[in-house]
Amino acid sequence: MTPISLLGTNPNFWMPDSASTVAPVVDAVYYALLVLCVLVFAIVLGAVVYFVARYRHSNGASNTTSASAGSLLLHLAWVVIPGVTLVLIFHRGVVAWSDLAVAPGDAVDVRVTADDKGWQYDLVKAQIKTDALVVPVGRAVKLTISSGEGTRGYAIPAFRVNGLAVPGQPAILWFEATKAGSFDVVCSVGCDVDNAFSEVRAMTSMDYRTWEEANAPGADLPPKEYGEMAFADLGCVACHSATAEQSGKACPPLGGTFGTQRELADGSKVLFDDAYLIESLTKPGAKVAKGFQPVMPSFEGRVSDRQLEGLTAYLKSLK
Amino acid sequence: MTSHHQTTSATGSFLSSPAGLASWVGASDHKRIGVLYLATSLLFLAVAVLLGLALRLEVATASGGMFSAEGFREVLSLRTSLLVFLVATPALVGGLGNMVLPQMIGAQGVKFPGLNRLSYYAYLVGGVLLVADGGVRGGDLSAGVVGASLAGFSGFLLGVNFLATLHLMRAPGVCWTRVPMFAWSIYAVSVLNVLLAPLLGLATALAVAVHLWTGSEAPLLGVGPVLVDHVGWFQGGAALYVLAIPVVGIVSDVVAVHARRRLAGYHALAFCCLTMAMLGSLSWSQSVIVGGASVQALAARSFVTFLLVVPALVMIGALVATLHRSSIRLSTPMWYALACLIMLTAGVLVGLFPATLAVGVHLGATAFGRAFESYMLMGGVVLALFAGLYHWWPQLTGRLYDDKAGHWGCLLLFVGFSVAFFSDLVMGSQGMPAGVSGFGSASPEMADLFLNGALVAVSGACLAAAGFFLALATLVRSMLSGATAEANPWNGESLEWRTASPPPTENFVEVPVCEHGPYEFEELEDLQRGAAS
Repeated sequence: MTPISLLGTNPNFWMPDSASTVAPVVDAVYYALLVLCVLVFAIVLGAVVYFVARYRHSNGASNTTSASAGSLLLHLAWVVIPGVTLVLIFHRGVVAWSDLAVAPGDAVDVRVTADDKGWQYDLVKAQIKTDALVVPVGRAVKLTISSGEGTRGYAIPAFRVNGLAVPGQPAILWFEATKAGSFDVVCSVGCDVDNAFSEVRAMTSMDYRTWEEANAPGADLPPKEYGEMAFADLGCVACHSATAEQSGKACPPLGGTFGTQRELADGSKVLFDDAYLIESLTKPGAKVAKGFQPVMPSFEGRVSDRQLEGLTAYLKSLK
Repeated sequence: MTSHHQTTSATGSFLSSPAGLASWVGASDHKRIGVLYLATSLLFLAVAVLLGLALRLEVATASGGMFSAEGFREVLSLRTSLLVFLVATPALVGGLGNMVLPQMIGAQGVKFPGLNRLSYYAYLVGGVLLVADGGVRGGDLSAGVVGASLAGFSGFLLGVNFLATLHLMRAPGVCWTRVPMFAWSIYAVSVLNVLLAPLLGLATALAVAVHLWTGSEAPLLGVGPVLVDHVGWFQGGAALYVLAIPVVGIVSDVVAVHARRRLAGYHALAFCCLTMAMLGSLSWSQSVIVGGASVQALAARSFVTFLLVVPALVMIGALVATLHRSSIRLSTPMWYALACLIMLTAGVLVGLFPATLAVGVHLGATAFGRAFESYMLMGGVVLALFAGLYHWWPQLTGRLYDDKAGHWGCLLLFVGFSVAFFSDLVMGSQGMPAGVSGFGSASPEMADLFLNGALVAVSGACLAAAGFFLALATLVRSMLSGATAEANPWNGESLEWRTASPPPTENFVEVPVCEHGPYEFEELEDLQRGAAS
């Protein structure tokens, strides 16, 4: 707790840990500015100290030389060098900020609301409501922060994002985490001491998927019911009938098919088992059932293990 | 000395005659109004210093307990309101300006003494309302909003008065290029005040009128938003740069006299004062009319702030260049002026960070913004105020002060400020929020870091507070028991040094005639040498 540990506890003296894609961009502008400022300040401080030491009245220095106009070159240098540098830094700031200002279209959409205890998060697509933010590493996340009453500040220093939510005017922040770990979220304006700080956990995509599943609605359902939900969520139900009848849908009906031999377009047969289900989901064009068009899109990377397990159980149950 | 001092006056010194409390309450002498302004603003400043110290203590003592979260925010907002509305302009322009500006141009008074008195009472009433209401919060019509507008209105009246005085009452021979830099800076600030204050005042007056007639409590006619934007403008950076104008004015006069050197770039300095005022009004109208959130508004605000840095750097360069080949006397006012110059440089540079778009986002609502505010309001305004006070004190009061105590006060203030504000800079960069009173809920690493920073800052703030009260006490002691001062202890060449000390009510028994510029020390000494040999 000594002031010396100012340096000790944090590897960077000036800026916090850098854990998002925008952090290095912001830091580059920050450090450029810092170098310019330290340089100008050192010149002023050095000149004042030197002149005071050199031209002290008691040192016998006298001002017999009449006022010199000074060097024109020096005057110009004093204005032009910082001036040009400032224009460059302003420009870099604007460029970096225009990146910061617009979230990518495929960002994970999170609605954030403020309440007495802190923040409530609503992951729109995954339909997860939580009071602790969890984000995937390597994917853009967009936070839409609204405040019902009073202004609220929301900042994640390690991600270099920061915004003010005013009632009726939500703050929109986005970031892409580059490091797994736990980072501080600062409620910079409008929170009580007890909830001024909270945390965001950044997880690798594997861990994130597991977390998502564990917290998704229906996480506590048995496999068959979970599979039924996945059948609807993934959109299977739009094309496949869940009965033995085709019911006017374009794709093969799935009722009573699991565990049976299926006839393919080329006349060969295949057993409808786990392996065939996985193959059909990932490479739907490989073995198309006889009498149907190969119109199924690939679900590669979109079906979790738990969903697959659920789908299998669900398909088995279909008559 | 080429000029003779006027020593006798039929009416006596402005401090002693006429005597009695009533003569002070109803004073129309600008010097007395200046004293009233100064005493009142120093009182508000002392309150702000103590509040600031209490806030920092609350943050640094991890246990907390002095304030509730709500109380902490209220005190924070009160402190900012005090400094922004009741200290900065009132102390430098209303206080020091009234006390010396007319003498600097050889005037026997100000153009509108009545307006001057009205401006003080508008300020006093506004200040009391503002403090009673706990500062300006939110955008609704409240006593605090009315108080802030009244304080703004007093700035408007001061501006009108000083502009008229500078245009119409300069003594014979005081052409515009012989006007001292402090007077030039007040000219620039007055233009700004005359342009800005009416909008704010008009909106408030209309809202109050409608409220009285209809009893409606709703935020009316946009006064709240206008005021919020005004405060936002102040905290947003541009206005803090504008504060540098009178600060540079005071430092210029002190540096020139105590370095016995003609100001390098007198014309550039005067021009920069006016340029900064113009850019300041531009950024004000931009932030009030366009509002704060759109992309264009933010980029424009950022650009104007960047533009403001250029004249500020020119001014700083000119002051440093003035020291070159000078003959420096390290008197107390010179200590303050040099300390102020260094703080101002830091402040001007620090302000670039929040103004740079991408970086400013990260630094929003952190201690970094508070550091910038402190460098300009404390390092700039307060040190300049003391520089000016210690510089003109012997002339105005006829008393000397303890030079050693003066040095100590300055040293404590400078070191204390440096430690506290630098800690804020670093902690702000690390993300420390300025408006949160404890870090108990943060991760252990972050809580540790911020707590250490807060401890460093509070130790600096304690030093600075000690320096502040020592500086005040030194002046109070001088007033009570100081030795008699000469009329012109620093051998100043501008006109305010040519009258009796303390000056008579009418400043000059006879209107002086100005034969040379305010900073022609070398030429005058050459002349003297020639005359002696």
